[in-house]
Amino acid sequence: MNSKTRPGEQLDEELVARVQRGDKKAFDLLVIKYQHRIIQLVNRYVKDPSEAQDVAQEAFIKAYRALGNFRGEAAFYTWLYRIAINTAKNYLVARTRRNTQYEQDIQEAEKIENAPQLQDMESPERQLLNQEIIDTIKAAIALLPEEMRTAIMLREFEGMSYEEIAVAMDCPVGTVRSRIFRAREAIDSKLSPLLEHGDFR
Amino acid sequence: MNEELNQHLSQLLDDELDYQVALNLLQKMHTSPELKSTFARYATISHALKTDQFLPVPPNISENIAQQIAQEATYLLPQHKPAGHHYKRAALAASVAVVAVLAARGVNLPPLPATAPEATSLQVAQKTPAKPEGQTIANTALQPEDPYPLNARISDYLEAHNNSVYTGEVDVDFRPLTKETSYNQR
Repeated sequence: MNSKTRPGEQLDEELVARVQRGDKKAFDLLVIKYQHRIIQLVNRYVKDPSEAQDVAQEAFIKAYRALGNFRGEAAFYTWLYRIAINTAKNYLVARTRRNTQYEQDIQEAEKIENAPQLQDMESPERQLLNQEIIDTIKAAIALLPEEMRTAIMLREFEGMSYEEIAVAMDCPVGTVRSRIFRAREAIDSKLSPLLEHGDFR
Repeated sequence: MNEELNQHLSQLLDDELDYQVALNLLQKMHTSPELKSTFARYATISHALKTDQFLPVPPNISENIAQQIAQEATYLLPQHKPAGHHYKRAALAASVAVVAVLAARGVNLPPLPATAPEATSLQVAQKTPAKPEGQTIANTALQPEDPYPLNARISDYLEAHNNSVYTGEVDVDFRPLTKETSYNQR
């Protein structure tokens, strides 16, 4: 293993090797780890959440079938990311062909990606619920103690690692870890009641 | 305990969890809907913070994928072994072949005419087939009177097969195996 490999990448390498030796459960673990990221990625192309989930599932199946050719030149997630994007683009092209009977190619899918007005529009109810949830999260963040808010903002908005945040906030990495977790717990406690009563499909 | 696991979930989401802990956590998540659900909520919060969008992820999506994967063919990639394994096998096979050839020659060699009427030098190293007990005892009794003693025959054989003569380490009168066998037939 490369000394610069992150712990997550080391785990991926191990799980991929297990899948390649015939261990299907190892692939389940990779799905559990990456399903949210892949759905969020696909959702940038396919705006309907339920369609995005279907496309994400298809991407995972394609990845499983292609895993025999994966030789680890790139990180597993980078490889999976490419498969997911291509699956999403192909889906958009196929859907457009079905709907309009026009010939379109991948480049045209790029145009769709950059034209939000052509993407799926959410229903008014869904937009309202979406706004309510976003407002709740923002309100929960506003109520956080200063250190927690800074830690989670640096993580989520700046994409900084725990070590970088520790340097920026002049505190141990363990404290950063704890602050980010506490911040998420605080937001989750405000969000959970909404999620339990909402219909999101 | 639950709080510790939730903190690990938070770290896993940020890709900041050590390898072994992450593996254990994923295995627990595989069988725990509660852990999966908590992880999904953390992911939802993270996504909402970054994009101002709420994207629900149903907890059963990984199970749906697992069901489809279960119907797929299982991967069994060929194990790539180091090239050295082939050489080791070839060397072993060659050694076995050499031993077999030597043994076969030993069996077919004719008996020594005058100097060693009962055995050849190669037969010394080979296990002789079972004979009646009386005959074995009789042969053993004859050994001291053998004009070409056993020790001399072994020495000749070893000298003829001593690798040091090939490397020039020892200055000896080298007699190859062919000579060894032919002079015995004289």
